[in-house]
Amino acid sequence: MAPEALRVSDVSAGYGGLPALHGVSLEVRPGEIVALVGANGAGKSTLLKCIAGLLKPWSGAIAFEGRGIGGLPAHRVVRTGVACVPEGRRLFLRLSVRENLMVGAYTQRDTGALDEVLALFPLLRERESQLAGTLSGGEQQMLAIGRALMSRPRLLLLDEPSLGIAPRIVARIYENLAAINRRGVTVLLVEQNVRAALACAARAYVLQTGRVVQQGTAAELLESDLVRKAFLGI
Amino acid sequence: MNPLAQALVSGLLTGLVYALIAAGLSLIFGVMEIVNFAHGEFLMLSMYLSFFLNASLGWDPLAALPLNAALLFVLGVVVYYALIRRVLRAPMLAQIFATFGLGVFLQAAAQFLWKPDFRTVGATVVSGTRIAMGGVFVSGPQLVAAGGAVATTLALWWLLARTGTGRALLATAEDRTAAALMGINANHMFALAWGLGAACVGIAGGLLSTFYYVFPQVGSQFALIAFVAVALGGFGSVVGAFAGGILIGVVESLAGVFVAPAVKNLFVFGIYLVVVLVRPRGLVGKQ
Amino acid sequence: MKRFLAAAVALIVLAWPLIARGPYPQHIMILVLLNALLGTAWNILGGFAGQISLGHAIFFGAGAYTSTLLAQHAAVSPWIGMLAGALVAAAVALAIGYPCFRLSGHYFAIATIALGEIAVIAVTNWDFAGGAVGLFLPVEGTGIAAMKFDDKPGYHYVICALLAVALGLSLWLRGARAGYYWRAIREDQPAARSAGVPALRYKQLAIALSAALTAMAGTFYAQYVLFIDPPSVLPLSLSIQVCLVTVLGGAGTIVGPLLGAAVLVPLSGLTSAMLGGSGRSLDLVVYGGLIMAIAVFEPGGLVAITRRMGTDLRTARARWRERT
Repeated sequence: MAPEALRVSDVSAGYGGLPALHGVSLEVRPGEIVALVGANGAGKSTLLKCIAGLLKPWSGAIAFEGRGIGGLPAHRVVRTGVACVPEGRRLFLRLSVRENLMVGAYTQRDTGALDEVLALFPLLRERESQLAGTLSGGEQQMLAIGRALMSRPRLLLLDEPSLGIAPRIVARIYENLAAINRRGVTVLLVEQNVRAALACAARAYVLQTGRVVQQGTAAELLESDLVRKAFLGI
Repeated sequence: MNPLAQALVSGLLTGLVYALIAAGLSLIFGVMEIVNFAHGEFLMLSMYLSFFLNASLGWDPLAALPLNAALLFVLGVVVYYALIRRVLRAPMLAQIFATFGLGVFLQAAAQFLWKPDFRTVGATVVSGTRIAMGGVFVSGPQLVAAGGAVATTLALWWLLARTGTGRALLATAEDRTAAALMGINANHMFALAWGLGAACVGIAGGLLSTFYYVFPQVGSQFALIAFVAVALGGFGSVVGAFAGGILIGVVESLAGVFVAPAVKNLFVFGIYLVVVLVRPRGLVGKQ
Repeated sequence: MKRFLAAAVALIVLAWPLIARGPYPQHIMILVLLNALLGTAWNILGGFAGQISLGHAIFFGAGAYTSTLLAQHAAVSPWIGMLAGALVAAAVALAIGYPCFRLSGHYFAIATIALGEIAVIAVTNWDFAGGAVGLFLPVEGTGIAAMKFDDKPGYHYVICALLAVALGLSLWLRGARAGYYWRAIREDQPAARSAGVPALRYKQLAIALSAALTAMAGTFYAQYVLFIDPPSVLPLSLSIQVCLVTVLGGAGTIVGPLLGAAVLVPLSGLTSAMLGGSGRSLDLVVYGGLIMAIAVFEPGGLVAITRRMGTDLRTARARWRERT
């Protein structure tokens, strides 16, 4: 088994001929929480989409647990043990909470993870038969995470989990992420909310216009001038 | 005999068959936003299948229904992979013309191969039976057809609402990207939708053949009604399409009895236009 | 090069009755030009503005019936009848457009099919319009004023004139503001709207013009064949034919409908179909196959294919030059 869970090597990608990523490399070790921070348009989501299989990289390699997954379509990536909570959550609004979770278990033989997920998010248990479209923003985010967990992933990707959610709820979500991580799920998250991300993650990469401009432990980055000036307004 | 009650019952029975045809059309549209302009021709092919099985092997169309369903399912899947898949990302013009061309081709081929003659299926287990219920006469074949339509639609509903595959179909219909993140292969779902939609119309065809004439243009008539039913109930909603079908059946029957048979379709299309004007996305539809 | 070719073709077409002496080849050319006119008319709505109508026979029939009924009951000259037919068709088009342009794409196409069927049923049951029996036009009284001729060349030049009008209109509109707005609507209506394009107004313009030109073709047809009934001027197969001519040739281009008509008419024996009112089903098998093939392989039609071949030819020539 490779020392890193996820290794991204020199990946370039873009949309319709316009480049968004220029030779990005990073790695995530098993059991870590790693954050990808940067301003809007820096390429963070693009990188996550490449890993999740929603976008095909132009060049470079992506390997999960030593096996190449770069270029695989999304429905096959999830079967390797990588689940993604997409930007904007993308729940099935016309299905109930329970049904959303069941769809998440599509790749599994059974829905055994359902109890674990409901234990992790008791709120969802209360709303089990409600339509996903009727939940609040924070509840939807929890459902989206729960849905991703149903496939029993070893790596969880999150794209802007705090977007559009009240700060109090954001804190709760991050607590949940920590709990999930303690159970052995490696986490890679993309965030504009740098404070929340660095409070939760052990390490982070800073992206700017499609390139990694800084990397290090959370503590190191909180001290760095770049991060302080650009994102923390200090 | 009460003409109103008779017209209502007759319309309801016909409407249930329309509903099944419309449900199949709506399923395909719901999952991938493509209208199958060849839906009527699928119906026609199924009816000819029943006819030929009956004429050459003596099979009762009702007994052969599973074969109709199976063969039409295969046809739907084949049409998806051979034709539809290639126009998924094409401009809308191409998508419309792909199925429209298929419909024209199938109908003309049927006319060329089997001549425009009207065929009838020989005796089935229920031909010639009539049931009198409270002053209303109902023909056996029509009753069985309606029953078969209800049963099939219930089976379809159960599949969509209660099974993992059905949920996957609904998920793909709503957001195929999110569905892919769950491990759902959109292509497989699309093919499945085409297969199921065609199977529905295949069963409807088998049922219809027990009391309706079989001829190359028979599909067009029903297809148009199916389109109207789906538009009425709302594109993308199987339940809506079902309700639309029943409504159309009843309106058509009432108009035929109380106005004039020649213009009953005017009422059907008239209702369609009214719905289009008032509520473009249909009674229950998504938009 | 292109202009020279266009001029040459135009010359041949104009001189056709002198080049091809017999009534049959003259008749074929008339049908080609008639279909080219129908295609050009459809192109304005379907090609330029991107609204797919599968019910254009309504307008064809409107033109044919209006001018014929006016001639029969009010002894109106067919030329005036032609204009009246165009106005009637435009009015019908606007009435259709107002509710139906809310529908997009597939839904709009279905609505046009339904309307086409309504038209057939309505006219078939309308005794004043001859019902299922149809209307005959009187054979006597020939000459340009009566838009009736003893032999083909007269008709030939009338249809040439009509086609010229349609082509001129198309060319002019394509380069005018309408053409830009239509393109924007066709490519991305929501984006066009937010950029300030009044979508409904311009779609209505497209359908009205398209309908008017189609109706004029309808009047011409009535004057040429001297008999009309629902199966000959209102059927779905005619609507299909009109589309196919344009789409085969290349929707959205000027030359497309012309190319499509030139290929389709001789190819599929449209002659008997149009005159007899009952198509041979083999024609339709070919139509259906052609429509599918275009949809899958080259939605841009023959024009796109020739352009591709042209580019391939140029690249091949350049490569050959490099080698030598």
